[in-house]
Amino acid sequence: MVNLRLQRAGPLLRILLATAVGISIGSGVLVWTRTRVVSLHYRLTRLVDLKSQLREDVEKLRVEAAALAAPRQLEAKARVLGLRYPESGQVIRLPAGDVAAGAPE
Amino acid sequence: MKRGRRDTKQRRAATQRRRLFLLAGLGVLGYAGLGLRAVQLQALDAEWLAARAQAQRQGTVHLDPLRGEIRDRHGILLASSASVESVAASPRRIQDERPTAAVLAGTLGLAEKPLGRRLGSQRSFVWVKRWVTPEEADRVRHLGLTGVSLHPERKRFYPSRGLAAPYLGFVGRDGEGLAGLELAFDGALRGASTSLPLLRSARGGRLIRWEADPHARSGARIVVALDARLQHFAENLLEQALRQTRAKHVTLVALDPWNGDVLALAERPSFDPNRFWLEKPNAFRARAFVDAFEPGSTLKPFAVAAALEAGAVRASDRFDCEQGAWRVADQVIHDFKPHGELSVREIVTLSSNIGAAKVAGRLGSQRLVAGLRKLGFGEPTGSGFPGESPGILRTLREAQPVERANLAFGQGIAVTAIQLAAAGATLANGGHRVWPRLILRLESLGGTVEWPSGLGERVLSDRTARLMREMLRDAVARGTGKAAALPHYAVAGKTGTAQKVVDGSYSTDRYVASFLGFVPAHHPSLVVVVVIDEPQGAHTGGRVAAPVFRELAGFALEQLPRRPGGEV
Repeated sequence: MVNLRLQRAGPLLRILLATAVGISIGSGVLVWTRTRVVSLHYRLTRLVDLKSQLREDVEKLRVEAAALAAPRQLEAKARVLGLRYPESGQVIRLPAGDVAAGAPE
Repeated sequence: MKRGRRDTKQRRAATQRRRLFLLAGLGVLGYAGLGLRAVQLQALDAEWLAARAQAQRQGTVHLDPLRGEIRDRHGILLASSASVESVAASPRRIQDERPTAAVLAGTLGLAEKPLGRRLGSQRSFVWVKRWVTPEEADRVRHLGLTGVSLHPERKRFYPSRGLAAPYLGFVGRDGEGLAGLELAFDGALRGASTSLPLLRSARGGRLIRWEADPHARSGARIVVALDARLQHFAENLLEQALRQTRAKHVTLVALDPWNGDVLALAERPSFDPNRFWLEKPNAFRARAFVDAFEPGSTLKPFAVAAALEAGAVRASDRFDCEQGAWRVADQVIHDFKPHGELSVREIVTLSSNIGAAKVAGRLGSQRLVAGLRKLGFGEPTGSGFPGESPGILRTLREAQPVERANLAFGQGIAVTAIQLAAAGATLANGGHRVWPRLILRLESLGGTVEWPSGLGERVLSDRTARLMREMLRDAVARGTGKAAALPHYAVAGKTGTAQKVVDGSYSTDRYVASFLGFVPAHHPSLVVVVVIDEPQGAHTGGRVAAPVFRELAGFALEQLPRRPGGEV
């Protein structure tokens, strides 16, 4: 019935309606993509913030690790464990190659 | 009947057609209106609207660059920056400052009254406490006080606490290098500030454009020549020496004579750069660079080297040392022990002032000063350390025999510990001038800049340098430096005990004891200078400074991995 009426309405009306439908669909797609872009933008900003926060955490942990591995700290811990510096002559250096020569193959 | 029905149908169809055309017409009009509006917005008013939209949506966010790290030659982290929080307040938003001040003072360990006065002001922003601990920040956050806020800031951390503190320096609260290497290389470490474009949403949310990476402009990483393990051992030794000698200060410099690398640079007393604001400014001095002292006998080898190099004397030449007292013009020069006739070699070994003065007399004032200048005395070493002292080396006329004699045994001249170590390195490496090298390289995203070796031009012949090494080895084996001897390595060195000048004359109870030495004597890999300022009790370089050298040299040679540059 509607098709019959559209046929009777003539080609101009059909073109107008098709254009209107096309524009509506196009506008919908445009709005959807823009909304999607903005929402991705927000998500990326949150991720950038998170990355920045994690980087700061890494920096803090690096400082903490360095403090724990500092010579003074290591020496204090070694002394608690009963370790001490070797006496003069206790450290014997082997020429390069000697260890390899005696090592099992 | 049929005709009536057909008429009715035709009228209805016509009505429907009219309605359709009306609807289509309205649609066309609507879209035409939209089209016109679009033309107006997109073409006619586009520029003005775009500018307005941009102003509403765009802003900038200022990002401070990340300050570069400092690491030692083996990669041990010496300085790094991390984020901490600071507590601030907006006094205008605080209704009653007294309860707020009381709570904050209790939470942050602050004095309540001064804080109350600050919170009672009409200012819009005041710092309450900067660089609070994470625990303090959490407590303040949980209080939820109106007008009180937490702000992220960057703080410089020195994980090894006071290790090499005067040498590394420190960074102020606003991120600027204030002393030491932090000041000398502030520009490279600091990097460049970045402003990022910021987009704001309608609800005020922020959208940073992530294309610009703030790390791209961060400061360079500096790799220093320092060996953190040697430095730590040196600081322990100095701590012990300070306790035993009850001296005012002790300083130690260790150099690689083949490239000028400053391997250790220790001072005691020192400070913790993590809490620099609690220290007295005097504690920040890197005395090895900025304090010049009269070296006494540690200068004798250089005066003798200048005479040998100029051909004024030979090592075997003999001089009458006048049994310990010799008058020069209106001054009598004394030796610590009386000696008769001594060779040049023995003058160095036994540290005769009279012998050194006579050698200098044979050389002449001008050639003596020129020889010392060639070894780097009287000018900064070129290390680039901020505020480095050039020391004092005055020009002498030939008609100044007293000044010349004094200069030969280290009086009337002022040197820094780093100058003395660099000149000692020249004797150690066979006669090449040494420019102390503080840093090995600068590493940034733009690339790596390697610092050139500190081995400079030849200023002494190989023969003179070898003769001096032999004399200095004898000085340790048989002379005043016996306490520096090591069981498994030959040591070369010279002691120094200089009276300090107090109120214009030489004091009889204040001394600077020093020792300059290098190991192994035949092909040195390490040059060390130890300076002890005003030791109490035993005060000679041989008694108080030489043992410090021995301990450090023994540790360096026996327990540290061998460095590629320094052969043993």
